[in-house]
Amino acid sequence: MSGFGVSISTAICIILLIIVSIGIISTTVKTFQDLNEAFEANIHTQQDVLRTEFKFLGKITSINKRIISFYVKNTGSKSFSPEELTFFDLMLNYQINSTNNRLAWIPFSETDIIDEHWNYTFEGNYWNNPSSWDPAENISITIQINVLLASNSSNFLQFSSSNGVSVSTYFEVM
Amino acid sequence: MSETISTSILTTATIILAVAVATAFLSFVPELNSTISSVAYTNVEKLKTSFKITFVSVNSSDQTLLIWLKNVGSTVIMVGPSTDIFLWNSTFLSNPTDWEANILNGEDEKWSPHETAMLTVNGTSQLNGEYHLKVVIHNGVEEQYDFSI
Repeated sequence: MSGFGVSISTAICIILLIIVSIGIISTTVKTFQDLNEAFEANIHTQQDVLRTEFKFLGKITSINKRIISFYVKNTGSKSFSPEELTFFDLMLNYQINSTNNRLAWIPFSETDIIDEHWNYTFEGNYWNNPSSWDPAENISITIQINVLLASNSSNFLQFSSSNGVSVSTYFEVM
Repeated sequence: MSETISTSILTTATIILAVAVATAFLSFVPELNSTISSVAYTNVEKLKTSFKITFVSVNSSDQTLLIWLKNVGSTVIMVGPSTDIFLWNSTFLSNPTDWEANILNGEDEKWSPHETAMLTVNGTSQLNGEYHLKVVIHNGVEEQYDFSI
């Protein structure tokens, strides 16, 4: 009878140990998977930032003081999809007359529905991947503003990628 | 006869003890799991959270400080009353609370990855010189930006 009791107790303890182990292991494995995914996402984000680089090409020009155009070259090793490009930010700080400046965050729009907006077109060779802005490729940016640039003005433009990398420049308008 | 009774009592006691220990351990496991999950969730959220201050401007006419922020992480960021803004230099420290946030290029009110948020801080006094700006969100992830006016 005593041996039976010890056997039952041992069995209960072993079952308990198995249940506890399964519980702890499953939670720990899930936790490590979640942490691993988060680490990978974090590293991917940081690598993306390191791989992102672009620069203005040539001169920034203005047509009728309402349209601003310039080229940007992808000098990094990251490609940007059209969807990512829509999340690029364009900040413009420009003179509207001899004494006043206007600061504007210009929204992206593929159409002219929004009065003030910016849009892009792919330029150059896109045989590799026509649907993305790949390294060494250029895009042409056109900004339309609804308050005109002043004549003989000095203006500032900042172009920021969807992952927060920025380039900026000053440009003159005659 | 008495030996049989003693053995029965000992057997029953052993089983009761084993069940008690098992129950105690089993009740402890969900609590332990919950704690581990909670700590992991907090750290996972912090690892997924990242934002960058891309531009700062002062509008001296209506005394507002404008801050543009980019969500460069992989999760939605909550911008609300639990977000702290600090503005300081060697002779000045401010923790403005009168501010509002707008999502500029999102389809909803959530500040999702890649989207840009603009914070408008009201009632900033005449700013002149070099400043440090820090934005701290609810989970402690922060970003600093230095600028001069």
